[in-house]
Amino acid sequence: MNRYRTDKFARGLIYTIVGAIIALIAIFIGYLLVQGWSTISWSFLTTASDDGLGIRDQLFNSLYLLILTLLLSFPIALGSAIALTIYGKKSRFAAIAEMAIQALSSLPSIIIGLFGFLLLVLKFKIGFSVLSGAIALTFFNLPILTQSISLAIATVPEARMTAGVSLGVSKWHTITKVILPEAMPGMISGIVLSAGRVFGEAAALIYTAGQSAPKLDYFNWNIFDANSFLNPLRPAETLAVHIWKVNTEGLGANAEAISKGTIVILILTILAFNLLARQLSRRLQRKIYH
Amino acid sequence: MIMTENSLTTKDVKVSYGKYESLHGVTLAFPKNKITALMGPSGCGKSTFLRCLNRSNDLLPDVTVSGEIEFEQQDIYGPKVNVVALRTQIGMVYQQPTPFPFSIYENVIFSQRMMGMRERRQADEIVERSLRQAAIWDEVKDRLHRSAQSLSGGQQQRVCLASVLAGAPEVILLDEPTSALDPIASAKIETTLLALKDSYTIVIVTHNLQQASRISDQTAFLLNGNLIEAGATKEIFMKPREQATSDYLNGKFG
Ligand SMILES: Nc1ncnc2c1ncn2[C@@H]1O[C@H](COP(=O)(O)OP(=O)(O)O)[C@@H](O)[C@H]1O
Ligand SMILES: [Mg+2]
Repeated sequence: MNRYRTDKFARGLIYTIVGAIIALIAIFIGYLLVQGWSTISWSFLTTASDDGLGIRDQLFNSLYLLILTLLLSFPIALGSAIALTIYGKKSRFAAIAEMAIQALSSLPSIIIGLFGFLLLVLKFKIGFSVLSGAIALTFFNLPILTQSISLAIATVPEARMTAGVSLGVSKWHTITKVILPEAMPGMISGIVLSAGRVFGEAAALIYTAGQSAPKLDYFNWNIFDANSFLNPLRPAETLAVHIWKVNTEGLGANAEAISKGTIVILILTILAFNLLARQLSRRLQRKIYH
Repeated sequence: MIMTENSLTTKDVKVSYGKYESLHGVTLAFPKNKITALMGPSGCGKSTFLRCLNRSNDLLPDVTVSGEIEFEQQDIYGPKVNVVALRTQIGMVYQQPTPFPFSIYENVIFSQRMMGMRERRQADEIVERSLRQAAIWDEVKDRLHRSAQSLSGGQQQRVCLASVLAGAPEVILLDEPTSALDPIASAKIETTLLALKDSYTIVIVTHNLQQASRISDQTAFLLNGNLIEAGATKEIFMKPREQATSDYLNGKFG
């Protein structure tokens, strides 16, 4: 074979492999969508599971936990990323912290769930609750989020810091007014992608946020009431946990339909997060550079 | 050389990166409103020395600076020095232009904004004055709100100079500011610096002997982390005292 033919052959091979992967994903997602599609209806999304098939409260719980988790994990992850990539760069402390973060990110989520169960639910007596779940998810999310924010900051040229400081601008202002805005598109896509992971997580929540979804009252703003949608101390089964529970307990004739329908909602929401991440970071990129 | 007041003086300045000493004790004075050129082969410690003068060495990990550096009779490594304010008074321009991903206008006014400047008219004035001083006003006055990173290298370099000037410095440090530029852009920067000399003390690192002889009043020659000799530029170029200087000027190394 001459060089031209080799090149053509390699390109053909790569296209075939990529095509096969795309086809597999398409078949996989398509199959799940087709299977669950008949279950999806307005009432499926807007009624409580106590009253029949609905997953209204699970959907809300998933979103509520996601928001609380991001509120808890973003400031910590941002702070650690700044400390590691800017202030502590190349220090021994940063090297140790990075190793710890990597170890934590490869911890199976069921371990985080059980740790949360022992520490939060039992020892601190918080019980199966939104709060326990959000804290467990924060442990689950922190390593990945810190890594992706660090990466986003690392794409900003080092010259920014010297340039800022040489103009008589403080380090802090150079970070907050130059480096972070420039890292923003990358940070946003990191946040949204980690949101997809958090949204679909089940194992970390089974023993922390619990497996029951008490019927919620969306007009009760008193967070101390057991049925208030905002109460952080009530148990909160999410979509992913719901799928797991319905399948293991196999309750009723509708179990299969419910689980397939829930899968569709979960997949669509996570796909939406991914699209949103791309859109947002593209927009921001355009806004910063033009 | 005519005696003038010194803006900056250094005494026995040594710098180590980790355990390795790169600068072995440099004693030099920078006369006010003069241009001093620092020359020497690559790696002889020119940038290292320049970075001591506005304490930007502080940003690098594991650097030790010893000796004395006085700016307006004050030790800049003293305990009471406000480093951030010091760097406004002693600004620095780098070899690679370093504009921020902002508009030209926001680049120039950035350090002032961070010090709390809010007033629109005053900001406009500072931006125009600084860009004029950096001899780039005519080229950018119609596109002040376009990204500074869309300019050519030479234009970016003058915008960076304007950003430094906006902080009303006393001293301007330039580290090979023209070595990434073409001859025409370099010539513009040289003319600009000559015009600025009346109001500022300028220290420029350069590889280009012609450039040093064209614009500087004083020249210092460094080799392997030592100051070999310093003096009026004419004298250094016409009759250097040291053999090493004469070898360097004749292109024998570097
Ligand atoms: N950040 C740094 N860390 C370690 N060594 C450095 C650093 N910067 C410069 N050096 C060393 O110090 C010496 C002088 O470098 P430099 O000041 O950059 O020289 P010049 O600007 O004259 O080319 C060189 O041997 C270089 O390797
Ligand atoms: Mg250098």
